[in-house]
Amino acid sequence: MFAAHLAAGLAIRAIQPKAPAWSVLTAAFLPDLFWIGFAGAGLEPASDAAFFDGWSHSAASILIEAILFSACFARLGRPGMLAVGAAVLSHLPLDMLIHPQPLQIWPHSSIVLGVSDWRWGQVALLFGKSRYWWIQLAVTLPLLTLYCVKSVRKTDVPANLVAASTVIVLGLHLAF
Amino acid sequence: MAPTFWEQEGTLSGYVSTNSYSVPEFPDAQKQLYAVTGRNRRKERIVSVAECVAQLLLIAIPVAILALINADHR
Repeated sequence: MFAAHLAAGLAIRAIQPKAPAWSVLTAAFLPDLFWIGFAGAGLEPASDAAFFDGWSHSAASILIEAILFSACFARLGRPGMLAVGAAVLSHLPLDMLIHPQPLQIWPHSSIVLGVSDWRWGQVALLFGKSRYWWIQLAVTLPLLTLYCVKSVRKTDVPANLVAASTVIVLGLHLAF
Repeated sequence: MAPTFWEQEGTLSGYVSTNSYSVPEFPDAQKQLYAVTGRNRRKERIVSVAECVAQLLLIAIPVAILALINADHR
């Protein structure tokens, strides 16, 4: 997932405006940021044959990342910390849907979450777009709707900028 | 039959000149192999780092733009 993580971060930010936008958006991608570092260091092989991302993407790892990252925002108070933590945790259900490998409960655990099948997700459907692409769109649209509705009501972000953010996220989904 | 190197006193070059024996090419080939392997290893590392940076930018740029747009406007 890519655009869906951005949409989740924006939706959480709209629900809890006390949390800075950059913190929830970064939090929504935190497991991926760890994955980039671990893959670069050779801890998590990224090749199709030996793909493994349990250290960055297992349920236990994401929970620990959420606790540690939200603790960095203690100055925001409990609502802000919860928003940041929720943004990190949002990575789990979103990546559970479709992922190169099913997410593990903890690194190297045989117990996995979801029934994600990368090949199943790659099957082309309408307009030549993959099943994965359509599922991500189906997740992203409600999250963006929530972001738009809550932003207009609860935040001071002007409507034109909310619209611009929505267009950017949808554009990124179309592009990738 | 020519004496072996161990039977011949003196240096390797002396042994070679005495016995019209050319310096084996293996060490050079080995050197080249090491050089190529080393280059490939460096190349692999560069590709890997480049991929990491590309992935990082793919996330960081949209996050930065959206964070700026949605920053506190008060």
